[in-house]
Amino acid sequence: MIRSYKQPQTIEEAVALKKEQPDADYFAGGTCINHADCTQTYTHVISLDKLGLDSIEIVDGVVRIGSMTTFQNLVDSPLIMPVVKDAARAIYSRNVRNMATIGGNLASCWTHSAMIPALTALKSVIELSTKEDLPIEEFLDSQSEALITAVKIPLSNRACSVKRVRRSSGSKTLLSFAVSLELSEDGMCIDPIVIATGFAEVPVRLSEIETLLTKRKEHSVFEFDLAFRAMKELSTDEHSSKAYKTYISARTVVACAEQCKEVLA
Amino acid sequence: MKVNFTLNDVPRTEAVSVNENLQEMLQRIGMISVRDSDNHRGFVGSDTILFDGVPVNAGLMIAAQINGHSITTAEALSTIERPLSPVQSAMIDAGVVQSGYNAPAAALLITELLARKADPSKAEIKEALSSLYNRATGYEQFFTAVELAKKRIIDEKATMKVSDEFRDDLKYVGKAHRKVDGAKLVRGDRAFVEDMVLPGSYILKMLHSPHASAYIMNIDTTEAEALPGVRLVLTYKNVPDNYYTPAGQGFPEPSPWDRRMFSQKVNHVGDRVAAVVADTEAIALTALERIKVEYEVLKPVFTIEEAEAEGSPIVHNSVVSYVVGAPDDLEEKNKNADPRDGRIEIQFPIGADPHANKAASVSGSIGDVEKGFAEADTVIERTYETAQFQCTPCETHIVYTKMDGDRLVIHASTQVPFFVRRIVSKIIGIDENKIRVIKERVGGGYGSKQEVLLEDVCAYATWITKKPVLFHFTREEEYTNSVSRFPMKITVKIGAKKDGTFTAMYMDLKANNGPYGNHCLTVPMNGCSKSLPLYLSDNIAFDVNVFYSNIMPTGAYQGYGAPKANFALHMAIAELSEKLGIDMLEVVEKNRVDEGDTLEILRCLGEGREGTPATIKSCGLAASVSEGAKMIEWGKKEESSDIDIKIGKGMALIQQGSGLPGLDISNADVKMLNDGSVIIHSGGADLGTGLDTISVKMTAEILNMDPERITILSGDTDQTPFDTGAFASSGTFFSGGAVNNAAEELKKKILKTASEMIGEPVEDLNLQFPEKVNGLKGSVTFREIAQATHGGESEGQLIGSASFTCDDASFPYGAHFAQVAVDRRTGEVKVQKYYALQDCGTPINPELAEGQIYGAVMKSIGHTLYEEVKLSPEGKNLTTDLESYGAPLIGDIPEDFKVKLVETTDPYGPFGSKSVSEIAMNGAAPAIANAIHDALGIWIRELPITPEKILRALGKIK
Ligand SMILES: Cc1cc2nc3c(=O)[nH]c(=O)nc-3n(C[C@H](O)[C@H](O)[C@H](O)COP(=O)(O)OP(=O)(O)OC[C@H]3O[C@@H](n4cnc5c(N)ncnc54)[C@H](O)[C@@H]3O)c2cc1C
Ligand code: FES
Repeated sequence: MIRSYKQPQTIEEAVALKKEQPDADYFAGGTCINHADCTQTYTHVISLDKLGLDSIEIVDGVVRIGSMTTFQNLVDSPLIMPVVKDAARAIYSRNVRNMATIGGNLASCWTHSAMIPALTALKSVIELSTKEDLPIEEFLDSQSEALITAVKIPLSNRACSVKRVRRSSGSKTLLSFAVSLELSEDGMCIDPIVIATGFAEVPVRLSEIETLLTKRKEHSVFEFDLAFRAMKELSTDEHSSKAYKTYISARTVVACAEQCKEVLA
Repeated sequence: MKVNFTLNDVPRTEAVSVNENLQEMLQRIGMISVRDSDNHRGFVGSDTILFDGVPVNAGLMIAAQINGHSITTAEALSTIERPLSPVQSAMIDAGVVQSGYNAPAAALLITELLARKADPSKAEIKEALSSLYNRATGYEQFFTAVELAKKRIIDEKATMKVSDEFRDDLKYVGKAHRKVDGAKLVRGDRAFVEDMVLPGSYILKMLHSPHASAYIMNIDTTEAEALPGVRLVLTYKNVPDNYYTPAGQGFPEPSPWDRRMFSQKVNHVGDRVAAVVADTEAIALTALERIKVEYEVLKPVFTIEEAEAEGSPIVHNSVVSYVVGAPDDLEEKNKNADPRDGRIEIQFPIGADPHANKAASVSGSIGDVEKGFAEADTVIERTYETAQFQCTPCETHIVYTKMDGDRLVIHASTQVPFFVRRIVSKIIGIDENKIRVIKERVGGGYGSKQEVLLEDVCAYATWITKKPVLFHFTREEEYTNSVSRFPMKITVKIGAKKDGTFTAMYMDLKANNGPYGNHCLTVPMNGCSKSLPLYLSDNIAFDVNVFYSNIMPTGAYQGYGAPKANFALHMAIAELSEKLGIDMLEVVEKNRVDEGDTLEILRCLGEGREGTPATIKSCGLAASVSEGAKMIEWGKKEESSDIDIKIGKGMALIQQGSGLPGLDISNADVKMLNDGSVIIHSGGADLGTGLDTISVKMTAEILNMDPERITILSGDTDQTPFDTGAFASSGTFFSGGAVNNAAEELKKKILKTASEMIGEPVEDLNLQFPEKVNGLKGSVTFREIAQATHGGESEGQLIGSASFTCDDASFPYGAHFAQVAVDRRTGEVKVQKYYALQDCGTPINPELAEGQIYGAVMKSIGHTLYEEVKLSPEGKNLTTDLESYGAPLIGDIPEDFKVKLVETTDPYGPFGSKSVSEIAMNGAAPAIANAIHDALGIWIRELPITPEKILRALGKIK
């Protein structure tokens, strides 16, 4: 139960409040914190509402997105690349997109994170109030409690595609994937990144799948079938079978890769 | 803490506790339009507000967040000068304000959209409404509402055609007309049960069973009772020992009385264990945690196969008794009953054998099916299965009870106010004259509010404490303690000649009844009675067997058993057609019924009593089929540019009834007031579908007056005469019929009085619009007549009183057509086209009738493709929120979605009307499943049709 709600006016003030009360948490849109199914307990919160962290700009080949930027701002902004807009649409409800922030998404415990796969695949960097920039994977590993001030997405030759598997437009996501890659001059996939949700409580990087994508022009779904079948993280549950999850994962990843190649071609 | 904010343009300061939910806080300060449908999960959108001009869900915020911000609620949309904004009036006129629970939220969303985009595209409208769950009318008419609102923003008087019009000879009936309760619903005025709750009322909270089947060995409530603020704790030990069925059906009910307010045995995960009544919700919840319960856990039964297997656990090992018609071996069977299982009282034989887990059964036949199958050139026999689906009304079940002197007042969200009174009276043991039930506006029922699910315990709590008590289901309780559609396994066997003529039809329907037998006979039996009579054959037979189990409770749901049996029947017809090598439509046309046909099979399909054959007096099937086939270009193969996307078309015929002839009864009074205006007192229960509007329009038509001068009061057991309620598609036909008859009675009295006043015989008089009686020589106005009959020299106020009963059946008919695109790679299905053609006789409110159809089709598309209640191996419901359950949103609507009302005139219904909404549930599953077969050549015989099942049928996964 939330007992105190502080509304600092500056980043410094917010960070100071957190220092004073280490068990306090930052409070962005509140869609996770206030959600009926939230598993965490929040007692003292520090609102980020007044810190002016909601700008989007392009500086030095990087799209810098303030952490308080809402999902709907991402959808609406001309500066944001289509794949990030697509990722933002994982939250089907526009009302919720008007509230949910990119910073909150990175720090929240939503199993099917809308943003983490895409941002990771795009090699994003997380800017913290310490003025330190952490590559997103390092940030996620660090379980940092620092204030996220921005997300920086490098503009590169990398193409990225996200896809989700769900029954209806607003139903729970079963699996989701983000695939990014570059193409060599002779059309080979290089440096692919594949991130998935639905395999564990948090998004996971699928290095076996990346290996299958690497240095190939064409991709045989069959190989991906075998690789996904071997993954013990995919199991039968009340909603679907392992066979289905394996099958659909292989097709979805290949479809993402094809889309990336199309964009780059 | 204090928050400073602007509320609807007025600066304001409010003291709030830091963690107070914003939706709750806004309701607390009077912004009652900001409702909660999902316990703050952001799915339904009833809690929409504008936060600095941007739509958000108040339920996902705490009040502290609004400090320094501006909040707009739907209360701001109308003003004293302008009682309805252009968007609000457009929504009502387009027909989207029906149950209306989140209509204020929709109005805000559209207002914000139009402020942002003066001329939004369809995609933009869909995006703006992506935050709204609308179960009542689906989503299609919102596009019309936006179109009309756009015009009205420019010119407030603008109009447009919102639906087809019918009956040129009539002024109001058959034309769109502003729904009489539309304004108060769309504005978010006080209308629902929750709006009636007085400060200081007690809150009732329920302790639920964690086990699917168990005896309560010990229950200790002392710690809970000791908690300050706890007023009452109820368990099986201290409640009346009365059994009942929650099914709101006519007495004596064809449902076993197998429920007690609390029992020593729990029969499903979530079943009632104890109730706490306390000063606040927080105290009640804490008290629940302090109740100590020891269970003896029993092996549960979940499937039909488990339930019917020899030696399986007995769900109700109770002492069974019959009021009439006890079987000879009853005493023998009762010998092994366990006293902890309590009793089951059965009113008359319904084919039950609870000791063998059988809740009900019925069989019947005409002709000789074996002979019929022997004569066939081709016989097909297939089994189809359907899952458990939830009604999911936006307003979860709620009741508020209070005392008025020595009388109990029940504010209910119910389809059956008079049965609530009867059942509560029976359970608590007080006379009906001591109880008043007021049906408030109902925020969606769809059958689930035909059940008395919380009124008994809340009323009892008030009766004991003499204090007002509120009991409101959470969304999770809605999933575990409300009713749902019975899972069924249906085998259909059809024999046909080479040319497609049916020689015999057989349906074997097995239903999984769940823990309690409310509607256990009528819902499954309706599967047969609302599907088989669509086709003619001399030889028809059916068997219905219904089994108790420990799944989530089942019961009434719009359409009863028809949507499932109709799925099975039309799948079998499609499979038969394929085998015969004849186009399905040809087979349908060859065998379907038509006007003038007599339905012999209905002889064996009475609702718990002997049925009677009926002759079809009006039937729109021919027009529905031919027009629908034209619209969808039946027979034309569509190709996609993507080779993996296959397109197919499917169809199904549908039918339902119009109330229960010989069983239902409605009553109404229509009274003339002192100034000649009129008030209707109708026992009918308007669920938001527009029944009150129907009553007003029919009265206006009969009395030749402006509907504005007619008011209706309905569904109040003190103030209105008896009505069986709104179920089995009875509203327009029965309740409307009673008002129609009462208005005709009043008309007679008006003419008689006028004849005396102007001295001319009644035969020479006629009514002239508005409110005038003309003779050959003189005339008199309603006002003059009213004044004359309100004085001491008169015979008294003019009141027309009448009832409506009917022994004749009126069947609404229709044909639904679907076109789907299926992705062979992923198994994903897109409904590209959906055309629902329906005959409801004269559509009294065409725009509302269309809304009912759009809503029913969307529900059934949900059941066909997305929705499903899933249980854990222990029987715990894993889908207790709308997101996990898969409820369809605006993103799931067919790309091209049309409803067409086919006009017929029925001889029995008022103004030639028949029922409209339940029937619309029956087409989507078979039409879509057949379309999938047309696309891919596979038969999916199990609902819902998931991508996984499609891939399996395609052999892509094992
Ligand atoms: C109907 C619905 C559907 C949803 N669907 C999805 C979905 O499909 N995918 C998905 O990922 N999410 C989904 N969500 C969850 C949620 O909306 C998002 O995760 C959202 O982005 C969280 O952002 P927020 O601003 O609301 O975070 P908050 O609730 O304010 O905070 C969440 C967590 O992040 C921390 N935090 C917030 N901002 C910062 C910061 N700048 N620096 C450090 N820590 C911070 C908080 O302390 C808290 O622990 C859904 C929510 C709803 C209601
Ligand atoms: S569920 Fe608690 S922060 Fe996401």
